[in-house]
Amino acid sequence: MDKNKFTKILKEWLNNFLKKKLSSTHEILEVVIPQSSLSKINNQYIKQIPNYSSWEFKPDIFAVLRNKASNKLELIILNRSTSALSLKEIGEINCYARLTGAYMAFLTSLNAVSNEVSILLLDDTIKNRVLDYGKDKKIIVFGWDEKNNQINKDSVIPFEQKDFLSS
Amino acid sequence: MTKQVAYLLGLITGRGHIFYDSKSIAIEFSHANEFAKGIAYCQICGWFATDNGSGLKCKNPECGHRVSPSVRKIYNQPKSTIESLKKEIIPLLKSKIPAHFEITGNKSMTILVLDFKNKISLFNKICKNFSSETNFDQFHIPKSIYSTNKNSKIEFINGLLDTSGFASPGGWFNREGKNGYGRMRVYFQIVRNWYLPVEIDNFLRSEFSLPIHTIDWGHPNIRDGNLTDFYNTRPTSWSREHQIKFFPEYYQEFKFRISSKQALFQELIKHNVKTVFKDKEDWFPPSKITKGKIKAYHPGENDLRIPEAGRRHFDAFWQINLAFGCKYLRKLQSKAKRPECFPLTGDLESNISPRIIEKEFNVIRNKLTAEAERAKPIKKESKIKLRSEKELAEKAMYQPLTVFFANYLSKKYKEKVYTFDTSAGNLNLFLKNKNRDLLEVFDYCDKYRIRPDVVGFLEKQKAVGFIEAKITSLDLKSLGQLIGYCLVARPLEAILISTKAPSLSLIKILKARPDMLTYGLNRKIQLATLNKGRVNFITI
Repeated sequence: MDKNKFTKILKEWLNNFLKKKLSSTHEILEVVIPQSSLSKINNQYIKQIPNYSSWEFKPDIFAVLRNKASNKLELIILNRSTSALSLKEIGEINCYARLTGAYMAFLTSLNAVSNEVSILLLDDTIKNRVLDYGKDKKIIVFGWDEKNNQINKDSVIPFEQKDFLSS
Repeated sequence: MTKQVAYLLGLITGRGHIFYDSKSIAIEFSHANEFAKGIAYCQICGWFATDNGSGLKCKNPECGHRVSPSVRKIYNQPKSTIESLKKEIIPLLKSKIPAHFEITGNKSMTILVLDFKNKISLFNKICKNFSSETNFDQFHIPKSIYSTNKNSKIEFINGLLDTSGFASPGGWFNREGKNGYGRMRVYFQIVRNWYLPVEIDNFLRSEFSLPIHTIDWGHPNIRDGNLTDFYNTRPTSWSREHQIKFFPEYYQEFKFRISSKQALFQELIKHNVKTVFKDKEDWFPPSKITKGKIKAYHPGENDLRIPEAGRRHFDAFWQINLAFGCKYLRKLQSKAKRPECFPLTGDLESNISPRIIEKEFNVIRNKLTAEAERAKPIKKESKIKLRSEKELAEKAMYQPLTVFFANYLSKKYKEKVYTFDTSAGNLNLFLKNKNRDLLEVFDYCDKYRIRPDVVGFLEKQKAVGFIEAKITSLDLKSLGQLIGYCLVARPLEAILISTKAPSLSLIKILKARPDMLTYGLNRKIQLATLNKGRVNFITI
């Protein structure tokens, strides 16, 4: 599958996922495949989020939600890869998530996590350091099942997110 | 010992990782190819067919017809591995081992994770069998397995089979049977563990009186005996897994629980039983080493990836078995007229001095080595893999940075420092393969499957430092890569360096958020440029 097709599929998935999982607490404002860095994008919601002007990067997909209780705008970012994920991609989204304080950060691939990183992430200490991006928030990593056009439940890391992500 | 524990010990010995801090155990089930293919039989004469790259062809010389690929059964390995884990293996283990079970992985590997956080005494009891080692490339057969009952011994082997056993028609052996051709073999694939092959061989002999056909060692003299690969741009092709090969018809008391592997195992057994082979073809006792079997010297014989016991020349695979402690060979050796001669020739009756044998063999080995060198192909320009300009430019930075880092670290920390270009592979394998002495001091690096370009080792503090080098302007992506390495290993120093100035976008981000460089308490990535061999640190 080429990258653009994969991105479009994931945009649709993210939209449906957010509606299903967060619509009781959040208003789903927009799910976007950005064409430029978030600091330069002409998006009314992004421009309302504090510090957006230093967000000189472009995630593959982002979503903006409004928290119904606090009225606060929240950002969700998703990066994708067609090859197995390495620490390079995990480190990259970790930077994006720390920088934006994203409400959720997803990283996905058609081939899940590389063998070597899979083993690394089984060490709790390392996993926590690599996936945490503050305030008990963790990057969620998963493989995409191309044949069935859905999340590969067995590939979700951290494990405790498996049910949340695939139910 | 329950059969469940014995089976688990087999799984761990085959492909286990123990995480002592996390109180968990992970077991790898590898399936490099998504689909495994069964045996193809000729629709005309019934002989088996092989594919030499141009399609399946019947092996019967009187037939030789093309065979349709559709005659073969196809097994989806990742799917059957996950199904077997869920339906059979986890329920079996769970019945006696109250851990929390999870499955993870990707297309080429499925991992079973057992979390013992709520059963720490059981975790400790299981781990005791592996003497505080952490990975399957260090494990031995647990001592407790030797003294357990027969059923548990069978289950131990079943566990080994599920993780390191492979049944494939591709492993057929060139033999004619009573009713056909080709003898199928199954093998245990042992990765980087040089003691386990002999232990498995000896265990199967002592506990089950089973034959082993051969051990295909990942040693230069065995895998590249005539230096063909060495002189054909694959100088280290020998450095692969070891394979313990056996004929499956003798192993019917064992089973795979991974359904695709079991189905293939049954196919291979059926073929050998139907074809009828009379000889057991056990490698033991070994064949004598005659002059025709002597091998050329290989430069890889001294490679540090090989443990000391095997870091020398061998003319036959069984000599490696002896070097790694085969008790059957040792017993045989003690019966030889001149026990010191036996390791050289395998001859029990020989009365010739080992010095004379060695001298005579040496002449032949030297002759073969010279012949191999003469026969080496002339390198054709077009065949040489050209690296991209970018790759070459980045590579050119590593040597000056290695020198710089040694000076920088020793000046700053005033202690003995070793720095290396580690860009070619993972840090843990760099230490394992190229610097075992350092690995003893920096043993914690054994779990670091990361590849920074340059690594510094500070001996006194047992700390490491990383450099990541780029020839493009530094950006958030390159920072993210080094952050990833730093979050894993928490190096004392980390420098992100480029021949170009950082991108404006990175500068803007770091002006607003200088904390983005932080990866731990008082640990911060430094940015620098490399210009005409000089490293200049950048303050933002």
